[in-house]
Amino acid sequence: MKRPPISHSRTVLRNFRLRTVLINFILLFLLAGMTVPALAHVGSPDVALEGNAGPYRLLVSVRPPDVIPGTAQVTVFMQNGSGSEVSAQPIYFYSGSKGAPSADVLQPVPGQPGQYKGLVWLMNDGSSSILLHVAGTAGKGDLIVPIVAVSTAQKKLPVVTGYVLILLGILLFILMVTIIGASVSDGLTRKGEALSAAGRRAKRIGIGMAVLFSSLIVYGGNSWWSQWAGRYRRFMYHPMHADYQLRQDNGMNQLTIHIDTANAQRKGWLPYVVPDHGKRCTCLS
Amino acid sequence: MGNGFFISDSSYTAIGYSGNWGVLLSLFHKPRHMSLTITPPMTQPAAPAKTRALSGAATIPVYIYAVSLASLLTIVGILWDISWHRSIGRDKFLSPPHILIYLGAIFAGLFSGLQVLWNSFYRKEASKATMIKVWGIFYSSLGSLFCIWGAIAMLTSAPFDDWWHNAYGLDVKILSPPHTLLAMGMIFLQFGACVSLCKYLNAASRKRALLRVLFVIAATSLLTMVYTLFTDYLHIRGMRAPLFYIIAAVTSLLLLPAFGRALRFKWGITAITAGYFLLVGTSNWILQLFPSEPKLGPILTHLTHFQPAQFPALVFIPALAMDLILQRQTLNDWVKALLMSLAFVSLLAAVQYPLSGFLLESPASRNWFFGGDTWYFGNSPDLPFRYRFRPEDLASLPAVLEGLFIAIVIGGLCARLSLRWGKWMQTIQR
Repeated sequence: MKRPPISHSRTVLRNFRLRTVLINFILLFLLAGMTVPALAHVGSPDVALEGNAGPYRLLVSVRPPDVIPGTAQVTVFMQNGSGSEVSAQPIYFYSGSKGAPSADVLQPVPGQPGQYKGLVWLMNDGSSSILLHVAGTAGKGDLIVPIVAVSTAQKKLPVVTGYVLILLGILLFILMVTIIGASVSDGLTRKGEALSAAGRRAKRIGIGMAVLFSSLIVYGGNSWWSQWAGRYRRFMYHPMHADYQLRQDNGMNQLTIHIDTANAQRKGWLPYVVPDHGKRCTCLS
Repeated sequence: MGNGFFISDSSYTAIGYSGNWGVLLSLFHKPRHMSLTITPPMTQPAAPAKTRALSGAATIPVYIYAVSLASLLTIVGILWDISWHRSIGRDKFLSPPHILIYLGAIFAGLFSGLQVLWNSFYRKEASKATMIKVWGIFYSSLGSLFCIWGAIAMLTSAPFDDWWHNAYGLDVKILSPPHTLLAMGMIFLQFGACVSLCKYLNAASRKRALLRVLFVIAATSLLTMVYTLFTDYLHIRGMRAPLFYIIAAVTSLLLLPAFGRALRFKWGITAITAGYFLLVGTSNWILQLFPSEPKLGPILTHLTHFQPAQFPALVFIPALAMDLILQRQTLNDWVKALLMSLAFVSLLAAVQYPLSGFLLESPASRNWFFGGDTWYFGNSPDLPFRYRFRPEDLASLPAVLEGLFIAIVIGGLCARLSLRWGKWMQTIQR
């Protein structure tokens, strides 16, 4: 039976209330199987969710990109029903399903019945979700997986790629110097004639200028790159640092949290953290 | 095919080749004049006719066609790619526009590289005298060196850009270090095509008309590339403020006088700027005919077809005046440069200032021809200033006049530099 349409936010809340499991290693354990060692670490941004998409019971794992914009890797394990089509689309908080691109079909994983994999492109930072559509013999159903898109890592240049780029860079540098040297000397010499003394002098000056010019380009490029990387690091997610102290005072436990407000990346959000009847309350609009 | 044949050139007398290999290699570089005969050398024609042929006429080598075509491929690929990003958003390393761009790089690099290898290892010593000796081993034309640099830079930018996306995210800006390397490579490739053509234009070839057409193609590609790089400053919204005219003067007057002089054609600058108009215009008119769908969220405007770039500026109108000034033999280069800058800036302002209002604000521009309603899918269709100038877009009249004056002064210096550059292009021999 077709369910009445419900709003996006209500669906999110209901899914959270009923079946949200945000402990990623459980899902990894289930998906990988008993014979494969399961690996997990605390603080992983991966999202795991068990929920219903209409008549289908799904186990979903989303590995958000560690760099935004980027692609999230979505894995869906369908516990009931097979031969269905599973597709996914990113939903942004401020543009809703109307602002979502058409859904991408997740491909079945060979040798893993009921398992589907695919990529979802996340272009903007912030709160968003992935809307899963399932269509099969039992009918159609949707499931929303809430995620947060934020850059969490800075990758290093692989050694091999680095060496290749350095070698090509050196080749380009030498070739540039050669070209500029030839442009003011050999290239202007009539066919068959030898380079004159003036031409040789011009060539030396040209090469000297080219070395200077090319070095400036390399220096400027490197500065630009560093500036770009610095800006990226500034906006990359840094966990807020806090010290915790648990003390016993007159037989009662007292928890004291000292938040590093001076160096916190998101210190602008701290006013939203307020005490409420002895408990911490986060107020977000 | 097994018969030997003889090739005559201005700098060498007779070079023998035999077999299919020789024919294949000759495709990559045909000598400046080639006569084909299956008779022994002693039966060659008498001297007078041959001397005339050797003195200047040149057969255009295949690589010259290849690099001109490569110039065009790369810029068409870029225009397509920009439209792709505005209409679809999502792309891969081997998306069709990327393939076109890298095909241009491979095309130019391959043909130029083979030409260098052939010159270095298969040609006779006498014929190498028409080339530049590089690193004591290779023999190349000057233009080929530029093209090879451009091709290597473009291909280097590919893994660099791929890693850049992994490290800092997918493209959100046109200008990033790997994209700049790609752009530099394209500019070198396109300029290399111009330099390669200069060698033959300066040799007074009988096929000068064809060479000029090829030069216009390469120069048009280069001009369009430079304008595209400065799109943020050369936008319709900027046409009522000084910065547009300063940037337009610098970019145009650095290139156009040199091209006009190198082309050795009365209406060379007009031809190149008209080429720019036709290239961008045709891309716009064709791209819009194809359906597309945004594939990246958030999608605030659901588009149904490829979005065109903005309507190209009518640079060919001031270019007409620049050609007229360049034709004046009595003026020295400083006066020519100043007059060209004056004509360019004032005529460009006279044309584009009112035209920008029509293109942005008039409903009559929102059609297939003018593309006044072109839009990016990530922007809301209801933005209040979609069809109006924002207050910050509009400068006061004194500020615009002051900006035009600055543009004329800077443009004059750029034009003078460019005229000197054009003289250099006229002296390229190898």
